[in-house]
Amino acid sequence: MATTHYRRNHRISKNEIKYAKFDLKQHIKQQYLYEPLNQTTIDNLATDVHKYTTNNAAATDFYINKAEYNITSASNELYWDADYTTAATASTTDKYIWTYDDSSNDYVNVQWDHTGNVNVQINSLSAEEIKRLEIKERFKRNLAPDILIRRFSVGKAKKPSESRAREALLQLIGPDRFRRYLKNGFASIRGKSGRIYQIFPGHKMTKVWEKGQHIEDLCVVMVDSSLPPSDSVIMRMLMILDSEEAFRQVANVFPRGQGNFAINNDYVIQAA
Amino acid sequence: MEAVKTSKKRTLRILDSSGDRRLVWRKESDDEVKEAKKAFREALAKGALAYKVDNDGERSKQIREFDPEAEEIVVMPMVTGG
Repeated sequence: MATTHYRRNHRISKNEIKYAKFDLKQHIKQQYLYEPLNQTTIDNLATDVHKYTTNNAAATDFYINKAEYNITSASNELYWDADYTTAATASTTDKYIWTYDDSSNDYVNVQWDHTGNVNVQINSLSAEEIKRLEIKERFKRNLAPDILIRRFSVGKAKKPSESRAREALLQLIGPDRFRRYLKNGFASIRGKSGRIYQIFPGHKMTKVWEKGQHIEDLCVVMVDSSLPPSDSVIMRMLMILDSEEAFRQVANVFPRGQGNFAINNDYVIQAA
Repeated sequence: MEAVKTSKKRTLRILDSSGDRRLVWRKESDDEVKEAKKAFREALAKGALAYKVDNDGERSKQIREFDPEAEEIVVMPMVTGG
């Protein structure tokens, strides 16, 4: 399944979510490396060949999930009805006989004993290989989210006071940095010490980064809580630009563990 | 007619619950300077902090006295550790 990467300011439409869900379903379906056994599938198997072709169907084999087809028999023979959908007993018209090797707990290796000249598409993977691929795929899915969304964007200003505060911030930091602030939801300031201060609007704590590592969080708030969130950014920005030490003295300090932070220097305000 | 040469307008920005309150002064206008100075002192008397900011927003300096030469002054309410 292809992982979809969106730009950070991308707004995901309902259709995109629908397609992503569909993609995920397809992915889950495909990871079992087989299709449900119905007439259509068999027809597809017969005509849509890209991996393995044989005219001697008895020599071909593939894997099916035992749980899905309720395979509990200890016998090494399975019988399907002519419509390929339901398992039957040997006493019925056993036109299609599938023999299997029960070496795996979850999958059975099936041989198709069809006597006609049929081309069969199979995945010639062992049960062990299938499991390995499944685990690998799970790892990949955990490491790379299917949809990347922006977590900290600054939304629309809901109050006139916030609009005014943002206007003030725009005039103070300039259009480029202001655009960046709206997009990312924070402003970055490099203090004279070289530390980067990541300032979020409102009462969120200021993250401090040194040599790419998140070293601590500083909490400084205005006593009057009725001020708009972007005023809080102005307040902390001016305090840090003036004196990092003074800012730290006012703040409640919360030391943090390790982390990584990619810094775009074009948008970092450098204290003179 | 001789053109009257006036200097650039300077801004006092007081952060409050409405976003901010702005006062503009020109240093040759005594009335404007006086009004800005009064607002500045009133805010500081309530525990506010004042910072002198340059045009590009890259420097700020805390001030305790009104500076009529400053390009922009931002006054913010009292702050505390959260």
